[in-house]
Parts: sequence; C-alpha cells; structure tokens
Amino acid sequence: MNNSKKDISILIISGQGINCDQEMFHAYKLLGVNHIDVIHINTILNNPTIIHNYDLINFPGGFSFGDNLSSGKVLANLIKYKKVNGKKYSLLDQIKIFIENAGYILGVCNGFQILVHLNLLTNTNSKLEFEVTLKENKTNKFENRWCKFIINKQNKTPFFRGIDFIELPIRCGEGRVVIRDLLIREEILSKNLHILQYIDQENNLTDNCELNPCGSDLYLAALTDLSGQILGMMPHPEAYLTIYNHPNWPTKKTQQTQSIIGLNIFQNIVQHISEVKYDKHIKFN
Amino acid sequence: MDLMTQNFFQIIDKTATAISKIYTIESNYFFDSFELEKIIRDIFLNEITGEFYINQLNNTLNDTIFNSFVEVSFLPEVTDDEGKIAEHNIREYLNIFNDNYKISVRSSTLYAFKEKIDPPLLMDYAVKYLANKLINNIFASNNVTTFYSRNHLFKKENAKQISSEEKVKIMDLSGSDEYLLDISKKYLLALNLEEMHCIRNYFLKEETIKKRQLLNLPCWPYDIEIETIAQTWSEHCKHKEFNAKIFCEGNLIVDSIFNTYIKRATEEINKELIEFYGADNFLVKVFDDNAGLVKVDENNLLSWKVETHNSPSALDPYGGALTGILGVNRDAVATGIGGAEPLFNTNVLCFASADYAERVQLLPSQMDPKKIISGVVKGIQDGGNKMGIPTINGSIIFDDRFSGKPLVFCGTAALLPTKTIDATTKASINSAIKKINCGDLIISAGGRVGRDGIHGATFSSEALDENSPSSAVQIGSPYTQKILFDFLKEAREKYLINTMTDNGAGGLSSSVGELAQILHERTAAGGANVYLDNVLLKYVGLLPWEIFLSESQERITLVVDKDNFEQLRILAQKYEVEIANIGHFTDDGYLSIFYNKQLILHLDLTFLHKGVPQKKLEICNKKISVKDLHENNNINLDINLDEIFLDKFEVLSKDILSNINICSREKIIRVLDHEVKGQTILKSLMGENNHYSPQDAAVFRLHFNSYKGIAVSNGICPQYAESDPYEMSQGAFDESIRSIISVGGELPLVNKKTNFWSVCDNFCLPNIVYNELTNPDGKEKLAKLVRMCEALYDISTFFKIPLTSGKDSMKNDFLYKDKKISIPPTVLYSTLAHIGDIRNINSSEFKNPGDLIYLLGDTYNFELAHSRLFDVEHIVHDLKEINFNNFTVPKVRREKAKELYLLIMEANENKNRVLNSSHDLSDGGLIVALAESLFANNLGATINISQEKNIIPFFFSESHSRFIVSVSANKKNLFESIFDGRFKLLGVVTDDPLLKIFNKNKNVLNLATLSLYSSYSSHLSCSSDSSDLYRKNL
Repeated sequence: MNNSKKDISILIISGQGINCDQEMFHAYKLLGVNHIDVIHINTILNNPTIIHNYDLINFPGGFSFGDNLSSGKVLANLIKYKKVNGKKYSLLDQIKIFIENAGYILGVCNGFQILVHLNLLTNTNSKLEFEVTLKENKTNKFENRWCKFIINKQNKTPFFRGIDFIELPIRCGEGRVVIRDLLIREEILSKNLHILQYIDQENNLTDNCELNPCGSDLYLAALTDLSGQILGMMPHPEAYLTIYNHPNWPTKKTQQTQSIIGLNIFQNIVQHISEVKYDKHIKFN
Repeated sequence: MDLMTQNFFQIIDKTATAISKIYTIESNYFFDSFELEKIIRDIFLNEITGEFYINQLNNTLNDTIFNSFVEVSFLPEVTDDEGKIAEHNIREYLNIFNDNYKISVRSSTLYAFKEKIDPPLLMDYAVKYLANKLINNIFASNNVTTFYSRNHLFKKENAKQISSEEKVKIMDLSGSDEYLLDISKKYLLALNLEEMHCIRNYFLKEETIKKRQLLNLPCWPYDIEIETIAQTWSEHCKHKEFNAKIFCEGNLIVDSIFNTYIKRATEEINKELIEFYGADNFLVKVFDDNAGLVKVDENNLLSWKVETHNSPSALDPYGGALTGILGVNRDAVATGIGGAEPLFNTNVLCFASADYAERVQLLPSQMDPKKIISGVVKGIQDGGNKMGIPTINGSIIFDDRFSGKPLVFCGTAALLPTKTIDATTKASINSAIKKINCGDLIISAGGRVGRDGIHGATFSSEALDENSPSSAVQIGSPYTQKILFDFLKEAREKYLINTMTDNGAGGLSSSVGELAQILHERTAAGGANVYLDNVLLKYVGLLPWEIFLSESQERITLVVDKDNFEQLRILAQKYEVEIANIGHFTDDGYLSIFYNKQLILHLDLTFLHKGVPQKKLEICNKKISVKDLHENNNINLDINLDEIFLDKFEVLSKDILSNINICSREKIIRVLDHEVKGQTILKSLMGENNHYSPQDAAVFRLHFNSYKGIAVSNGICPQYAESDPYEMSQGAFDESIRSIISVGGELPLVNKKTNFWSVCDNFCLPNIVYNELTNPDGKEKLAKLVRMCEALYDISTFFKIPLTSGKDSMKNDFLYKDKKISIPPTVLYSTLAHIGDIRNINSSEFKNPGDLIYLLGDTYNFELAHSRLFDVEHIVHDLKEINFNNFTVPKVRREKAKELYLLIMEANENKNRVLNSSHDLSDGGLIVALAESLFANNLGATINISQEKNIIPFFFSESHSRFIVSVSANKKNLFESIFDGRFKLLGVVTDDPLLKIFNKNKNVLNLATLSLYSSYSSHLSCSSDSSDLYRKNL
C-alpha cells in the first residue's frame, strides 16, 4: 500500500486569502504522499483542466476575498463564471467532469463555504441547485473553539471510515448550516448526507452555544454529496495533526489517553484512493 | 467624458431584516435592469435567505414596518474593501477589464428602526453606536425615498483643475520666530523652533544655494521638501525624546536615554554572548531594521516587533487597531531582505473599563471606552484572522487613566531563511543584511495611494484634542495585504527582490528615505530618484507632497535589480498585486523627487537623516524612587489584615477572580483565531469541556518536521508605576521572563545548548516635556521614565537577556480645554525564547489527583500596594481602616529570582519529568494562581498551612518570581532534593472539585471549583462590532 500511497496526486488550492494551505500540505506530507501540489487559484482558473491530474482537490480554510459579499461567495463566483482565453468552460464545468471521473473533493471551513456556494453540496437532485447555505453563527461572532462531533455511520464517505467520534476546532464566523426547506432536510436525513454533528460530553446532539456556537439546522457541522466523494466540513482536521494540537494534551499525555486526531481523516482518504486508484482512474485529455 | 450612470440595489437577509446592505454602482457601462438583476442573482444574492430591490429600498419586511433609517458608508477617501471586491467581481462576471469602462461600487449598510425617531436624534444614535464621523458618511432619515439619490456617496471631482504651478508651493522661511512656529503648526509639521531654524540654515547655506541655483530650484524649499523633513524628523521616526540630552538644573545628567540604557544594555550583553557562544551567537541584528533578528536554528532567523497604535485607535478604534496589526506584520515581514513568513501575532491592550461612561461624564470628543474596546477587539480580530496569522498571546489591562487614550500594542514574529542567493552573482549571502546597489529600481507594491493617513507620523506624537486631524485615520485591508505577502514570499524564494521595507508612518518619504540612507551610509554617496507620476493613485487630485507622504496602507517598497523587473511583473500579475516602478537608487548623496518632469525635491541625505538637532529635556532633582523602607524584607505589618479580612476569605477569593483585571479573557480569546497554521502548542487557555486554565506563555512549534518551539510572553504592570516606576519596569521584565521559565525556557549563558531570547520593549508615556503652564509636572514624569529605563538596564544585563527592538510612544494625553487625562507611565516587555522540545513543556493546570502542590519563591506580606486585593469592591469600606504606607509594590530580588529559575531549569532538564504543572504568580497572588490551576480538569486541592498570622497577605501578596507547581507523589524526594529547601509544600491535588484551605488544621476556606470558575468566567464581555451594539439596543 505504501507505494500506491506515494502514487496518488493531491491538489491544494491557495491564494486570494486562503490561509490553511500549508498545514493541509503537511497533513499529506506526514502521511508520506509524494505528489502534493499547492497551486494558486488564478493558475487553476486560467487552466481549469489541470485539476484532472489529481485524485483529490482540497479547498482549505481562510478568508478568500476577505469574506466580502459573504464567506466564500466571491471565489465561488469566479469558479462558476470565469472563462479565460476564449475557453468555453469554467472551472466548475471541469469540476463536474472531475466528479464524474470519481475524483474526491474536500472543503474545510472557507472551502466548505465555497462548495456550498457552488451548490456542490448537497446536490441531491444532481442539478446543482441551492439546497443549503451557510450563515452567521448563532452567537453572531467568529469563534475559535474545540467541539466534539459524532460521525454518521450510515454515510458512506471514505473520509470518516472507522471513526465514531472526533474532537476538532471550529474557527469561523459563518458556520451555521441553513437547509432550504423540509424537503431537502428529509433528503439529507434519508440519504444520510449529514456526516458530522455537534455533541455534548454524553454524546448527545447539542445546540448549547458553548458546545455548538454555529447553531446549524440538524446540529450539522459537515455534509457530503450523494456519492460521498465531496466532503464539506466546518471544523479543521488540518489543525489536529498531532496530539500536541489538542487544548488539553498535557493532561491527556500524562494519562496516556489515545484519541482519534484530524490526521486520521486525511489518512482515510489517502488510503481509500490508493486502494481504488488503479481501478477507477480515467485519464482526461 | 462618458456619461456616468448610477444604479443601486439593496440586499436583505430574511433572517436579519433590520440591517441590510446597499451597493451603489456608478459606471459608464450601461446596465439594463435585466442584466443587473442577473448580476445580483448570480453573484450577490444568497438564494435561500436573501431578497433584493433594485433602485429602491424596501421598508416593510415580514410584516414589520420601519420608520427610521440610517445609512452608513465609508467616506470617499477611506478603504471600502467590500465595494472594491464587488467591483472586481462584476468586472470578472462581465469580462470587462478595459479601462474605457469605469465601474465603481460603494458598499453601505442600512439600519432600520421601527420607531419614528427624529433625524437629529438618529444621527446622535448612529454616531454613538453605529459609525464614526471621521471615516463614515452617515445619513439619517424617516423617509426611505430620500436615500434614492446616491450622490452623497461619490466624491465630486474638483471642478477647478489645479494647475501644475499650484501643485507645488514655495515655503518662504524668512521671517520671525513666530512666523516659523506658525508654519510648523499650520502644516502639522510638529517641528519646534530650533528645528525650524536648523531647516532655514540648511537652505541658507552657500553650498545649498549654489546647488539649488544650478538645478533651477528656488532658494526656499518646496512644500514637499519641508514636509519630507518634518516626517523624517518626527518623534515617531527619530525618537527625539528618547535621544534627548537631559538636564537637571542646568547640568547634563543623561545624554540619550536610548543609548545610555537600552542600547548599552544590549551591547554589553552581546559582548558576553560573543564570549560564551562565539561571534556566531543568536543575536543577529538589533535596533537598525524594521524589527530585531535572532537566529533560531541553523537555517532560520526570527524577526520580532511590537508596535503601538494608540492615537489612531483613540480616533477610530477598529481602523486604528486593524492598521496597527497589519502595520506590524509588514515590519516583521520586511526585515532583512524581507519576504519573511509571518508566524504569529500578539496583542496587549490597555483600556478604561466598559462601564466608564456610566460612572464618569465624558469630555467632548472623548470616545466612550465601551466603543473603543469593541472596535479595537474587532480590528485585532480581522487583522489576525483574515491574514491567517494566529493571535497567540496577549493581555488586557483596565484602568480609568486609559480613558483618554487606550494603549494598543500589536506584535508580530516572522521567519526568514538565514541565507539567500544574490540574483546577479549567484553567491549565497546573509539575508539579514539589506542589499541595495546604485541603479537598483525602487518598486512600490501593494495598495494604491490616496489621501489617507497623511501626517500620521507627525500627528502620532501629539496629544489628542477635539481638533485631531481626521486624515490620520484609516481602515486597513487584510485581504490586500495577504495577497501582497503571498506574492512577496514567492518573489523572495525566486530571488527576485534584493530587499524591501515597509511603508508605514511617513509613507514613501520614510521608506525610500531609509533605504537611500542605508546605501548612503555604506557608500558615502548613495541617493535615490523618485518619479511621483509613476505612483499608482486611488483617485486623481492628489498633490505631489500628499503622494509622497501618504500613509495609505498595505504597501511595501521593494529594491529590485533591473534585470529581474520583468519576471517580478509577471509574478505580480499572477497574484493580482499591483506594482509600479517609481524610481531608482543613485550615487549622488541626494534624495531627488520629480513630478511632471520637474525636480521638486532635492535634499542632502546626510542633512535629512542626521541633521535633526538633539532635543533638550529638563528633569527634576528629586530622586524618584521608593522608600526603600522594606529593604530588610521582614517588616512586621502593624496592621493585621487577617483581623479585617479572614472571615471574608471566601467572598474575597470569588470577588478577586471576577475582578476585571483578573477574570477570564475567554470571550476575547475565542474571537481571535489562535491556532491557524496548526503550530500553536500551548494556547492561552488549556483544558476541555468548557473549563480552561490560563497559561503563563504561549508555545509555538517552529516547524512540522521538528519539535523545536518558541515561547512567547509579555510583562506589563502599569498599576505600580506611580508608586515606583523602577520596580514597575523591573517587575514587568521579570514577569515576562518568569513566564517563559515556567513553561520550560532556559536562561542564556548557562549551557552551550541552542538558545535564543528576543525582547521588544515598548514605552508609553504621558507628556514628559516640562512646561510651566501646560505640563507643570513634566520633569517628574521624565524622572519616572529615567527610573524605568534604569531598571530595564539593570535587570536585562543581570539576566543577560538582550533587547532586540522597541518603540516609544510619547504624549499619551487627552486634552480638552484645561482638562487632561494622562496615562500612567507604562512599559511592555514582549519576550520570545527558545523551547528545545515542545513535548516537554509545562502547562499551568493540575493534572492528577494525588499530586503534591508546592509554592516556589518567597512571599513578602507587605507587597500589597496597588494590589488587586485592594480593588475588590466588597472591601472598599474596610479599606478606610488601612494605612497604605505599610505596603509597597512588589520588588524584584534579582539574585534570588535567578537562583530559583536555575533550579526550575534543572527540574525541567531532568529526564524523570519532575513537574506536572507550573504556574507563575502575578495579579491577585497565590489564591488566584491556585484557583486557575484547578479549572482545566475541574480538580480540587486541599491546602494546609500553619501560620500565626498574615494568612490573607500570604494568599494575596503579589510578590514577584514565584510559582506554584504540582509534582507526582512518587517524585517527592527527587523534587525536594533539586529544590533543596527553597519550596513550601502547600497541599495536594484532589479528585473532589473543592478548594479547601486549612490553617493549623482549622478550615479557613472551602469553595467548589465550579463556584470559583463561575466567578472567574462571568465578568468580561465584549461585543464584537457596532452592529452588535445596534442589535442589543434595538
């Protein structure tokens, strides 16, 4: 498996105010992946087909375009509408093909917001319509806080395989998932598109604002599309690459408590792609 | 000129109807309503929660009818990031980048109220809660249709074209002294008579006259010349008061505080560092660049700078704090060759408390501290978060004396590779040294130039009053700076830039001037030519001197080899960063400025940089020092505090934890991203399940591929200043280093292992210049400053900890007629130090039931003067019984402190990990430190002491250089052998979450940890922005 792991290709998007690209890079680096490219969004917009060289596209967190016109909105607009050098397609058009070709997409925080504004999530009818959105936190302010999440075991995304619970920090001002209507809500629940939900110490879903400052519908913190290839999550797995990131690590260390860390999510997807890569990979010309 | 049309649209979020956004588009591109609607739907609207109205505003929503409206937008000269980005997005959408199409978007916020409120009242309300007249346009009306004409948003271009002759003015300097002073005042030059004479003499020198005749320049200077001199000679740039000659009754007693105390201390320490570690020791560059540089490992240098932004924050708290943090980012990034990677920010804030205006009548134009606090916090939040730089350490101090001017200290550390490659010779060269050659291009990168921030450098050294200039106020754009930094990093990695410096106070006049001066000093002939026509402007109509002095934000001046320019230009395009080639370096020894092909400034660099006459200050004769009455350390208090307070021990403990200067800062810490980058190992608050213990210092991991780290701390205690400035300064220094020792740092010169320390000193003072009428106690204030500096010299040379950079901020006074609000003399020490292995650091919280709790260091019962104990509201009445002369402020006993720190280092070194936790004692003393250690894991402690008296002083004294530590019971012997009698066993950590204190087996305190925590965490609140205030007041 180690060799195939080195063969997989990871794209991390940077620039225009994205700021978690470096720790994302180190996540894959720590896992021994050889081919990791951090590429400026403008380079990709100028040549959208380069995304087909990769198995996984990462939209890291940050403040693209300073969060103006609402978080992630402006960058999503460029991905949707920008067509350069007389090309007939936008980056979004290529992303659609990338998904059809079984590529994986991870969006964290601002990246999640971008995926939502692209209507890639939750996309229950595959028509890229507005189904969910992200709004200001219930607490009405930016919060950097570690929260605890339960993983929906019915969701088939490989990112969280084998994980029941995880603690991760949220660092956002607009992390409240708002679902368009009851219909979509039912779709999300029945198709198990919800993947992370805020819980309390007793593992019960919670809307206590000290445990869940965002206050999303359905206590949501992360969503996938129907295929599980696209994951958008508010909390930051790349902020928890070693136990020394946890806010109570000194105590955990003396008590030798083992925990699932953010790196495990990256490990899962790298492993999954390595396993299936040679079966599914279709070259795009 | 094409016909400009106006359109506007309102975007409403159905979940928050009372606040909506308006975007106003002025363009010569014709938008038909169908196209406009499509644009709004596609790029502005949130389809799930949004609604929009084109060229009209709605006044009814969800059955609510609104009757009063306030629209807040930015003044035309102030950065409107949202408008700019909206414009960018519309252009992208329509695919029109052609300059023939003018599209300008302005964003504004509309606040709606149900009640019908008279416009004047609405305006008052808006000024109080929603906006700031210095940066905002504010419109209030009861009728929504009065907003339909959008003309008020757009600046009308000057109908009268300024002719080129009028653009530069000759400043005749012949005339009386009064006339010279008038000029200085009228043009906000902040120059005194001696300096004005000195300038006049320069222009009257035969050599100058000849040269100017030859160049066809007038004898007297152009306005841009005198403005440039004033900027260069400003207190902000030249630190004239820190470099002044100080006279006491006619006798010179100190020739430059800076040289005598600060610089000398570091020079002496450097000698010892060289002796001990060799010439290649960690101290790389001090005092002569944007920030200090130390070596952190073989491959990396660390720059470290802390700045103040007090006056701008007093005028516009949000913009002031935001530009403060963004400005210090640029300092750290542009040190050495520049393009460094910013690692983290720090913030220390001094305010009057939020309820000040409820207790004290505000003076006209004095801003409500509540508004200052929320604005500053929001500024720091946006400045750090949007740049992706974690804010990892800080402090907040409340004192009513900060009600006139708050203190806003912003710090940034950045990492720069030790070596770079010379673009021309391909040789490996030292990146600490700024490389500039004659012929190199001067490139301005980043934001465009507008009229914002003109005279910031000269103004920042003046007291605030009702006439303070609004031009000094500006809003920053973290987005613009983030993309600029991304660009600079890649440009540096590709060796495209020789060096760079920040455009801060003084704008181009100081950045180009400083760079030219570096070349001048190296070659004795360096100079620079600048062509102002090439500078990119935000709008037309700027005068040449305004272009040169403007402090428009997010700009860096680059020095670029001309062969690299094309490559740099292409790279800048990729990042969408604007760069402009504005001139080049010369070898004529002059700074020359051209505008419209005409030479309009020609100044000798030696005169410009070395010509400022040394200032003279007067000091009083009295020795400003404390009564050293308690020198023998064992005075008997003639008052028994236990008699008054022991039966109130529990309520005192709870009250002190909720004291505004002690209580949890969580509400502020949470709005600051403190762990982006994933390298913050010891955060300000550690714990889980909503129980957190505050930590002594932050620890930041240097790289992902090693466990080396940096400890970050600060020391500040202005509450002791009036009583003893020497001990205040020493105490602050000790606080900053003991915090680092506590988490696991090591003093230098102890062993040969890798180590580094870097201290930034920031002095903030009220006016220290004596004036019989306006500042009668100026001499005493200067004496206090001298004592603070003596202490700094004494303690830094004692511990051999070098000062690497610093800053002073003078005249922190607020004036209204004959009333004056002055800050207490304040000094902040911000300290970085090496951590060998982040996995072995100490955190403050107790971890295991059964661990033993020890107190390290000596407690002095009388060190309670200005202590937080006496701030506790419950005991105001009892205080009348107390003779405060019995108390002193805490004193640093350097020898004893050092002995203890060496033992702690030994314990930390021991492979058997002796300490399970360590927490230093500061405000509030032992009781506070004990309680804080219990919080994170919701543990308890049983404390047993055996004292005849002075129980209250034992728990509340604020003596320095003390720690509480916890130790596994099975390491008791090891611990006690290391600390060899220098400890006091206090008790044991318990599973039962109760703090129980026994004296001679008699229970004197019994409180649940949860109850202590609720006191600690209840108090401080901070609303994050003005619309929050609006929501609350709605």
